[in-house]
Amino acid sequence: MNNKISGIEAFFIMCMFSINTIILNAPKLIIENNQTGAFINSIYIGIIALIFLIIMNKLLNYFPNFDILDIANFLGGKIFKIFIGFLFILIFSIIICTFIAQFIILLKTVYFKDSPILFILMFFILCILFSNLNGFISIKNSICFYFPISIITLSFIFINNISNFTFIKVTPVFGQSFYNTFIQGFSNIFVFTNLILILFLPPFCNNSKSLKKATIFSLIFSCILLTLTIGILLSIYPFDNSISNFNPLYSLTRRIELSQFIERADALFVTIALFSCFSYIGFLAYLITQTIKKIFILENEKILIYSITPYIIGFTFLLINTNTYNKSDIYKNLFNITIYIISPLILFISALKKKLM
Amino acid sequence: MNLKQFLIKTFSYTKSNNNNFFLPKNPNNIINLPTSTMVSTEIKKNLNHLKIKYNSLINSDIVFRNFIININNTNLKAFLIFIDGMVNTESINDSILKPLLLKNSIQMIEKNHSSRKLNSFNLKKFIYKKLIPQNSISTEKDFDIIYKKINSGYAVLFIDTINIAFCIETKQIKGRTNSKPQNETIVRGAQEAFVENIRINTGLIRKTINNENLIIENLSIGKITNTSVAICYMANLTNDDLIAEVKYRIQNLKIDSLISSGELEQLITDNKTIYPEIIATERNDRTCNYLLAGKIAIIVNGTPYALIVPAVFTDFLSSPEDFNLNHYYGNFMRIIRGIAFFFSIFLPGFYIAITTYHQELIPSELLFAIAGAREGIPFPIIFEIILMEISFDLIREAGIRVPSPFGQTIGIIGALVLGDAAVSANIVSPILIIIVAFTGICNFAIPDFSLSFSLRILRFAYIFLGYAAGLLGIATGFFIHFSYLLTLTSFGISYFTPHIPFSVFSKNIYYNLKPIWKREYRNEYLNTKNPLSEEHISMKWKKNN
Repeated sequence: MNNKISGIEAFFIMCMFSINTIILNAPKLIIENNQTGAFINSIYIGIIALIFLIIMNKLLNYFPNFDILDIANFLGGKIFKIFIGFLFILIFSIIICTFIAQFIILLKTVYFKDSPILFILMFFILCILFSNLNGFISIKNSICFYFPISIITLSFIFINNISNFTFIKVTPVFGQSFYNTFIQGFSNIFVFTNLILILFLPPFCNNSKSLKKATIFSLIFSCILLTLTIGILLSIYPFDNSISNFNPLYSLTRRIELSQFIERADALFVTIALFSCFSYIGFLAYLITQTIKKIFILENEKILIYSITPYIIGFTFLLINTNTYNKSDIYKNLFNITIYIISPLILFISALKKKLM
Repeated sequence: MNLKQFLIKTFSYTKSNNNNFFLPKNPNNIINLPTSTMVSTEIKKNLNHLKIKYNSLINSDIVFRNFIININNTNLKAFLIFIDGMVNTESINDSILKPLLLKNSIQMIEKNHSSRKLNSFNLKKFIYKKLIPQNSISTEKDFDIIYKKINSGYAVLFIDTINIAFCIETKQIKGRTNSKPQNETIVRGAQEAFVENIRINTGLIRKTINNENLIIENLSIGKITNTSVAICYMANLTNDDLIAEVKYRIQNLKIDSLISSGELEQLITDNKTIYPEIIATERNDRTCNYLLAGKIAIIVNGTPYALIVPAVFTDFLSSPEDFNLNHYYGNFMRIIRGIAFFFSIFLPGFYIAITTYHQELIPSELLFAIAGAREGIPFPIIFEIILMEISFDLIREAGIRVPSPFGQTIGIIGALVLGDAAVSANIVSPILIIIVAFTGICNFAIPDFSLSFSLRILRFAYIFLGYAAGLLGIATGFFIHFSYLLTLTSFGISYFTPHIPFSVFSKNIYYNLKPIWKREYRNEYLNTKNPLSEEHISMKWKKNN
């Protein structure tokens, strides 16, 4: 079977990243920061992320089929490659564990009040373990399978909540102030976690041109989806002070009425969200193993897969016990610095070095 | 002695060389097996060789027919060897013994031959060309080949002074003639099924596909059984690499015996999995459909089933009837089967998950009804459902094993009496009986036996997962299960082709069976030599005006 991914599969993988960010926390964080200005802010950060993406794509043209680790190796040798590798492992770990922690807390609050966290966590860990043991083909194909289902479900949730829309709640669209929406709100750009993939996908892709197209389209798609979600959430919930501690999308599912046959369908939507979550964290775990494999030039992947699972368990527990899983500032800055400052810098200097050689 | 050795010695089985048989040991019992591998010019040697090899003193069905042929007033000793029950005795009498033994006929033929020409070489030619009026004869010198011929129903003729044997095809293996399909019944379509005899089966395929491009290659598998295996494909359609792969796998089987196609199926699949990866069909029309689609059929002598490779997941949810009926009916049935597949695997798990963790999903009235029905039942829901599922499988198994007149009775008694008694005795709730029965019915709707079997087993996993963590457990199970399925291949082709890997413009999609005049393309994944199965406008009569 083909180990490489096509353009459309790259599009699906990148969109899956944004869907998961949206399902869990991104809209809530942006709305918390910018209130009604979140709607404009999401368009604004989307445009800036797109400009970044185009610049990074241009710089990546100098290194066809190279990922960021190969480029780091080219620029600063083995030590620099290891440093960059660890930085990205940290980012991936934070994304996975934060995501799992948030999902676990949601599940525990709603369905498993009496179950220990470790019990719920084990299901996530099993999914990571088995999807990685089954290999890359299985991971990418499962993303391609669950992506349309997730999109249909999201659309279904939105359409079913049309009756609850109050458009007046979206105003004032520019939010509290220009500073708050456009200057302070710039840091919200971290929600486009899928940008990280353009640094790692090139070796997996058949055609670098189609990958570039896919990244641009996926970012546009993510931006539209994010804006739409924020718009819908704003038009339903009164976000004047702070939004509910509950996941707002989950709250939307509880408002859905499916005649008398299904009284409350939230559990079904959570199940579909779980599928998308499992495929997402499976792919992130795969990226971690691949990064470790690459920086240490390892052969046996299976042992790595087995060993990252206790690492993820430990990290998730750490985030839950220290209650840092919902403190977005911690990884917001780390992510923004790595993706929007360090990575373009590495790409730029490497491109310069290559040009001068 | 280390720990490992100690454990092995204590707990493992060690073979004993002394069997406690009562038979006295007799060193004179040892038989010297013949060492020569080539046919001798001395008939006595050949006769002894075969008698020893075939244990003629104790083997009752090995027939040695000794006789003398008189050619040009010279008496030549000859013998015929064959296996009784595998040959056509009339054919032996009429085509071998009569021409050789009737002196007049020999002398009549002799008139055209001068005596000086009757040397050893010409004798072979003479017998081959003039004396045996049989359509298929070959001459062999090697005993290994001769054994194979005898074992497969040939009569082999040995004549003194000639160091070759005449292998004459006289096989007639008695067995079932064509019958109706037993396990793949349909309403519209041919009612002709394969039988145990490989030649009848290949003949059936030839009868349906009247084309010289249909190739039926024969291979012999099993060091002891030498089972005939026929590989059938369309030379002008099937991908050459696929043919080579199938032959490579079959030819590289180092086994002693091959009794059924089920054994062969397990020996040539890509993955060791609970899911079937090769279609087994008893229907000739289905086999021919697949051959014309560019797939390969493998028929094993002794089994009334053809194996079709490669197979993708949706093939196991398709019925031969889909193609015989109007495409609207076909599509409807396919959707129904898809739903049956879903319920067959998930329904009991869902039931347990919803009633244990997600009660808010179902309407309050139904919830009260379920709670009311469970009132007075002392067991937890998991026990109830496992009990009923196992009972259902037991009834099913018993229905198959008991003699056919009782089969239906067992089913009815099992379903009605046991179910009713279990409810009355407050062992299970009535709703659970509905769930289990509905799941069972859905399972029967799956056209492929192996697939429905795998669902029966996997259902238990989902029951436990649903009990452990509700929909989270089921979602986890499904994710892992599906993730594993995505790794499966059948002869190198992904199990979920053409739906996954994602393909936007797939021409043949399971849930959208096109009308027959629109089925222009063969499956892309088979990479056939001719991708078109019909012209763009197949109903020319409609467009001609």
